[in-house]
Amino acid sequence: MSKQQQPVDARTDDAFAQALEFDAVKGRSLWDDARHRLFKNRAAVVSLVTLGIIVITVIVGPWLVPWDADFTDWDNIYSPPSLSNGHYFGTDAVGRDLLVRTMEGGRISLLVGLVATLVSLVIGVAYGTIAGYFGGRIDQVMMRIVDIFYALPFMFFVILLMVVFGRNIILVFVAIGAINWLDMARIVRGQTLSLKRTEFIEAAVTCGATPFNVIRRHILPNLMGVVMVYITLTIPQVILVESFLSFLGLGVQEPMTSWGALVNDGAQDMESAAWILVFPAIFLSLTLYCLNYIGDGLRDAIDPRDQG
Amino acid sequence: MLKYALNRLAWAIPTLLLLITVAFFMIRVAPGGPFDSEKSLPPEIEQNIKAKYHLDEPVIQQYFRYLGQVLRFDFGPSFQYRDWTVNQLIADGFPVSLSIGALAMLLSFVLGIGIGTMAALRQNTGLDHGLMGVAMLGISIPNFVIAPLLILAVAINLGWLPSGGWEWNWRNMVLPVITLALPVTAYIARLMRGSMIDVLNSDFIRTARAKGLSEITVIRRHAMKPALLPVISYMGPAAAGLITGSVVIERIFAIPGIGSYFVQGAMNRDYTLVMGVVIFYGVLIIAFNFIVDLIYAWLNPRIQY
Amino acid sequence: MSKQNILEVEQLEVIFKTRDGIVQAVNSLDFSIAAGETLAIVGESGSGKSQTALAIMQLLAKNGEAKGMVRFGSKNLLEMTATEINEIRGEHIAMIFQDPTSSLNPYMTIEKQMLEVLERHRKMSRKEAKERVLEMLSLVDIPDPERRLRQYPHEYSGGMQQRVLIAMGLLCQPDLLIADEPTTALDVTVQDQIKRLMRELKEKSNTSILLITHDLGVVAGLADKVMVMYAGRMMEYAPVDEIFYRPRHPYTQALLKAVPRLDQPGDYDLHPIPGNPPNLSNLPAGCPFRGRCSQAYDACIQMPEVTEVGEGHQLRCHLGESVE
Repeated sequence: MSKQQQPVDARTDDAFAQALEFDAVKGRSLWDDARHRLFKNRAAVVSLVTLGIIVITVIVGPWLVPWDADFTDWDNIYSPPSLSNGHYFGTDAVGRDLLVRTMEGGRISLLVGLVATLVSLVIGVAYGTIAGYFGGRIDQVMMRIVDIFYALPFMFFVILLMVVFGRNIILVFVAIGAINWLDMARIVRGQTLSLKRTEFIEAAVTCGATPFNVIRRHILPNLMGVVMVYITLTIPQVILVESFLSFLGLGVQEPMTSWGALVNDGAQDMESAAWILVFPAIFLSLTLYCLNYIGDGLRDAIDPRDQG
Repeated sequence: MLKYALNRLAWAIPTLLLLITVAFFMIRVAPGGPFDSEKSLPPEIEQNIKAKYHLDEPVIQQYFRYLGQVLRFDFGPSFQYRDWTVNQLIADGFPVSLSIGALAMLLSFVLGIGIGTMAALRQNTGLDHGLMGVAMLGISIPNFVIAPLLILAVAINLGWLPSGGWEWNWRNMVLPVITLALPVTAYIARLMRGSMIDVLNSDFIRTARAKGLSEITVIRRHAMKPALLPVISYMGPAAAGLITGSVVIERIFAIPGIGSYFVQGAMNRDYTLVMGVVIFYGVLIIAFNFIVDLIYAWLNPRIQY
Repeated sequence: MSKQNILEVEQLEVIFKTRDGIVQAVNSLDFSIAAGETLAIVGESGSGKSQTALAIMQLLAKNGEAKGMVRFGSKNLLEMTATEINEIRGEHIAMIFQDPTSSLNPYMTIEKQMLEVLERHRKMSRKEAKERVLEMLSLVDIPDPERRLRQYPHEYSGGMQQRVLIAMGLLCQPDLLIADEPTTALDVTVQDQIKRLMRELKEKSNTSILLITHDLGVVAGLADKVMVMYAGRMMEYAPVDEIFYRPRHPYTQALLKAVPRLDQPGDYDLHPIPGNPPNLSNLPAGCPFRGRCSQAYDACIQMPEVTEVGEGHQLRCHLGESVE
């Protein structure tokens, strides 16, 4: 994506090394620097703004629209998008307003994205720091377990879970979060390993800090960068998984809805009423698109040498 | 190499065991059985059915019975399709799923590697930004959004291809294969671009250029193989992704593959079928990962056997 | 200089377009190398010495651009097309790099990597080519070369890898060998072996060498002429003895004080140069070294001109002018 200058090998390229030093001299902190680079990335900025608009619309919108999500407008069943009857996105097979349903569905999709990502974050960071910090045998065994999990067809397990325990939203959060922690654990472990070799951590250990304190006070704060990148990249994945489940009829259930469920509804009637499919599909795709670009931009901003 | 292969193989066994165990106990702790919906069965009939499916035995006994069966590749009878065994259903659906999946895999690797290399060689040009923008779309727009849109455009409005259904001919395969391949292609293109750029900036490429080799030779002989390694590693996850995607694709295009049976089974709480499919695909993915590991080791002289 | 120059560099400029603007890495550089002669370019990192070497070979990073004249034979290397420069690279000018481990392709056997040079530039049978490769490997003291050829780079030690790279560079008996910090990435003991090897090779062959280094110890035994660079500019340019025994530039003097010397008493003090090399994208006006120079005075606000202060001894310093 709009990755600016990067074919420069800092080790051999004196000029580039100089350019980096230059930044340091000016006294920019790492975070200022990252923010500066992120805002220079046009695609990321546009995505950030677009996503902001979507999020606000979805959260505030339902209060501004005169319809309820499950209100049936018997006079306007299968109404195409129309200004005259007030259904700007049209209505579905039972006369429900699609605008408000798309926004309500967005609330659920975004909520699932956030909560499930938090679940995976907690598991992944805990697992990764422990494996990385203690290293040796513990690390080996823990990472082997991750390897094994990687080889399992997780999506099928989630479906299995939904089948077995019924389709409730809490389970959706947990199940999706529980399958997405593997990447996070790997990344965090790698970072922790390299942090552990740094002098300030060694100093802390020498001063008698307990492992828990070292992790909390010194390692976790330094993981912020990568963790933020992975959060932004995990949210779209999670939203995708949820919509996938909902599309199969295994995710959130009526009367609740999500973008995936709406797309599923729309796909049934697409020949006669394409708008039912198109609006939620656009919202869903646009959100994922923006999140992916922001994640990319963040990664480039925090670690400009990583090409991803 | 043999030692390495055996080592990898040894790791596949606990993975497999874990897979079967988790699947089995997950189903067994499930509230409600497959026959709950058919209320008010006379107790003796229910007893008979339970006996037939060995549901009256202690769980541990059931577990080992099931394990034994699975080791003989016998997934038992389907709860839902009473006249069918799970094996028959899988044997029925697998050729269809496999042909679509394999074609999609092939397509996405060829296209993804090509596009990624092209973008890397034209780094930061309009072409690069364009290709990567499209690739990002491919990653962001879910399968189940693209499929209906494609059907709407190509099948319904233009009438070029059937909108679904299954026959063994290419016309029925085009849309499903393209839809299935799209996100994987996009991902591989991005992966390939990144790794190609990394490799082209590495010191040994500079050495190769300093030898006077033409740029094409440098890329073909020196850059291609290392740039491909991350893509090779991605083959395992790609296969898993394709299998997952096929569940949706088969449903949208009404294709009688394993994915269709799986969704049906999931809806109907057809435990043996669902479990059979999970284990079958699990084994497939594990086997595939094993092969990918071997290919990777063969390509990378630095892997220690 | 009665000998013919094989390489003449005039008004070489190298710029990089970076995120923070344009960086001038090399600024109006002039030098020449005669046949069989060794020129060492010395300077701290960021002085532009490596970029000079890469510019000659058209191997600058993508965001870099070289202007000026690099005359090799009758042509300007900087204006050559990709096809033309590829005829020169490896055949007439060879280059070896700082880090041997990353400079060899880890996925190819040493044999393939060496053979492809001959394949590219020489019409030889495979057998002849292999004999030539074995001969070169023996020349750089690789034991058991037959077996070693079939191995991959990671099975070699760092010193061995650098030997292979040197052998690879010399395969086509180039007119000029550019060695960019050939010893920097190696262990100290191995550094000595490589230095000795290069000295031997220099005596045996008539190849000219452009040696890029920050290590004056390498320069001493190897170079005929030395150019000291700072912030992209030539500071002092003289025959090696002049540089060591009659250094005129305060920077050269400081560099010499910063290296340990065997010809001094044991308690000889090392004097590191205070401060850091300047930032190329934001150079102060005047002499770039003045901020770190112990002898700087008002005139240093102006960029000094290059003056001839002795037989083949050029200097860019106001002190030189005032002494005259």
